[in-house]
Amino acid sequence: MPVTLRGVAHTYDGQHWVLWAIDLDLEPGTATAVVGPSGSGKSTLLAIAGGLLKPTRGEVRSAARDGRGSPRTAWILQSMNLLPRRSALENAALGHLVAGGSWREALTVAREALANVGLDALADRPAYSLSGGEQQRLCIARALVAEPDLLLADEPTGQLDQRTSVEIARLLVDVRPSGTALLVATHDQTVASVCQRVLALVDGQLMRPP
Amino acid sequence: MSPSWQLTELCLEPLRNLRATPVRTAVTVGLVALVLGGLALVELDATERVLALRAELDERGAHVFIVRAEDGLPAARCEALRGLTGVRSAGGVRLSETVAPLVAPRLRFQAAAVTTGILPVWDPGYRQAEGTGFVIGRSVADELAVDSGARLTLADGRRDVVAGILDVDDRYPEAARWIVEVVPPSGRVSECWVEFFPSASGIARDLLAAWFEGPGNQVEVRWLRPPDEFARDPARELATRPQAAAWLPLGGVVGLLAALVSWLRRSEAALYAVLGVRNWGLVLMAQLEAVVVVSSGYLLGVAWAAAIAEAVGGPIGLDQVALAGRSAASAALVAMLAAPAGVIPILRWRVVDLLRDR
Ligand SMILES: Nc1ncnc2c1ncn2[C@@H]1O[C@H](COP(=O)(O)OP(=O)(O)O)[C@@H](O)[C@H]1O
Ligand SMILES: [Mg+2]
Repeated sequence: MPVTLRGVAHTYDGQHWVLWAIDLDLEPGTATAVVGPSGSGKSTLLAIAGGLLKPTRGEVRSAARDGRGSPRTAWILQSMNLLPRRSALENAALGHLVAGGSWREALTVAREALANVGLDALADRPAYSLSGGEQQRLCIARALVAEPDLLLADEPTGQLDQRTSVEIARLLVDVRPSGTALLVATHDQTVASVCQRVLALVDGQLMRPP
Repeated sequence: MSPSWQLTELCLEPLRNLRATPVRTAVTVGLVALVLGGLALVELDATERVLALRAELDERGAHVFIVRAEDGLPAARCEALRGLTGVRSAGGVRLSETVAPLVAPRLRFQAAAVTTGILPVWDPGYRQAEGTGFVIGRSVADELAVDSGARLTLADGRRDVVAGILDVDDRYPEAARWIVEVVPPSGRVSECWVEFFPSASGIARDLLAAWFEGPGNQVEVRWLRPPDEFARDPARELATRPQAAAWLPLGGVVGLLAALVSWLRRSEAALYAVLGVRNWGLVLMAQLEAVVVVSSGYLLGVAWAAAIAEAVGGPIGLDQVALAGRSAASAALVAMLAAPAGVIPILRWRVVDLLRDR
C-alpha cells in the first residue's frame, strides 16, 4: 500500500491546527477526492501524503508498489505546471525523466501518453499555445508517463470552466495507471464526484460528505 | 521522489531549454557578447597603443647599450655578442682622424672603423647596397651629392665605392657626418654598441659587464637613452591601464543579468523542483546554462572585437588577442560563477509552498 496516514495533525504556527486527527489509506488503484473550501488544509494534506511536509503529529507510512523504497510520486497542480516554450511532447516526456529514464525512451512513451489523453495531434505545439483544458490534459499525460505509485492532483481543474473540469477529472480517473493511488484535492463537488471515494475536509478532519 | 533524474538528463535539460527558446538564447548570448566583446575591444585598443609606443621607443633605441673601457675592448668579443639570444645586433667602433674628400678638400668628416654588426644598431633600417666600400652618414651623402654605388676618393688617396648610407637621426645623429670603413673584428675598439630585444634588455647591464670583465679592465655600460629620458613606459602603461581591473565589475554585471534572467524564470525552476529535481540539480542546471550562454557569448564577443579591431586598425597580433581574451575570460568566469545566484532564492522555497494557491 503506497501511503497510510495515522493520527496526523498539523499546525504551521503552533496555535491554529490546520489538520487534526487524520486517518487515511491510499491503496494502489484507488481514486480518492478531498473536497473543502479554500484554506481548509487540502494542500497541506497532499504535501504530507506526498512526503514534502512532515506533520506536527502522527505517522505517515509509505512504500513503493513493490514494497521497497519510497513511492514514486507525481504531481498535477493548478498552474505553473508546464514549460511554456517546450512542445507538448517534450513536456509530457519530462515525466519519464523523473522516473530516471532517458530522453530517447521518454519521447516514445510520451507520444503514447499524448494519444491516451487525446492530444496526439498537438504533440509539436508549444505548451503555451494550448488551451487551459489541453494544458491540464498534458499534465495528466506527463503524470502517466511517470508511472507513479502515488498521483497527487491539487486543484487540477481550478482554472477551468465547469464542463471542462468534469471532463478533465473524468479523464484523470480513467487513464491513470492501474496500480496508481490517486488523491485529488478540489473545492468542486462535481469534480470530486468522479472519484470512487469522496472525503470532505471539515475543521481539519476528514469525513464522508452528507 | 525516490528514483530520480539521471545526471546526463540533468545536464542535457538546460540545452533543450536553450534550443526551445531561440530568441531568448540569441538575445542573452548577444548581450553577453556585447559586454565581453566591448571589454576585449578596449583591451585590444590599449595593446595597440602600447605596441605603437613600444615600437616608437624601440625605433629611438630604447634597448641599445654602449660599452666602454679605459683601454678599449676586444672587437671580436664585441661582435661575438651577436650570437647570444636576446641580442639583436652588436658591433664595435674605433675612431680615426678626420678626413676630407678629394673633390672638396676643405670639408672635414670624421673617419671611423666599425665592425659590421654596429650598422643596424645605429640605423635599424640600414641596407648595404654594395658588397664592400665606404659606409657614409646621410649628411656626408647630401653634402657631397653622392649615392650608394658612387665612387669616393679621399684626400689621403684612399678610394672606394660607397657601399651604403646610414640614417642615424634617431639613434646617433653625430654619425651623420661620418665616413666609416667596415673592418674585420680584430684588434680593439673604443666602444661596443649592443641592441637587445625588448624582453632581454632588463638583464643587459649585468650581462655586458660580465661579458667584458677582465683583470684590471674597468668596463662602463650605459644606455644610449636612459629610461628616464622617456616620459612613458609601455610596460607600466599596460599594467596600469584603467580597464585592467574592469573584468571584475563587468563579469559581476553579466552574472547579475544572468541571475536576473533565472530569477524571472523561477517558476520554471519551481516546476523542476516539483518534478523531482533536488536543489543541487537546480543549481547544476542553472550553472550549465550559464556556462553555455556565457562561453558562447565570450567566443562571439572576442571574435567580433578582433574583427572590428582589424577592420579599424589593421592586423593584430596573437599576443594582443591573447591579452584581450584573457581579460574577457576573467569577466566570463566571474559571470559564470555569479549566474546561478538567481536560483538561490528558489532553493529556500519548500516545494510545498509552491502548491499553495497563488
Ligand atoms: N507556510 C504556512 N505558514 C502559515 N500558515 C500556512 C502556511 N501554509 C498554509 N497555511 C495556512 O494553512 C491553512 C490551510 O492552507 P492550505 O493547505 O493551502 O489550504 P487549501 O489548499 O485547502 O486552500 C490556511 O489557513 C493557510 O493560511
Ligand atoms: Mg490548496
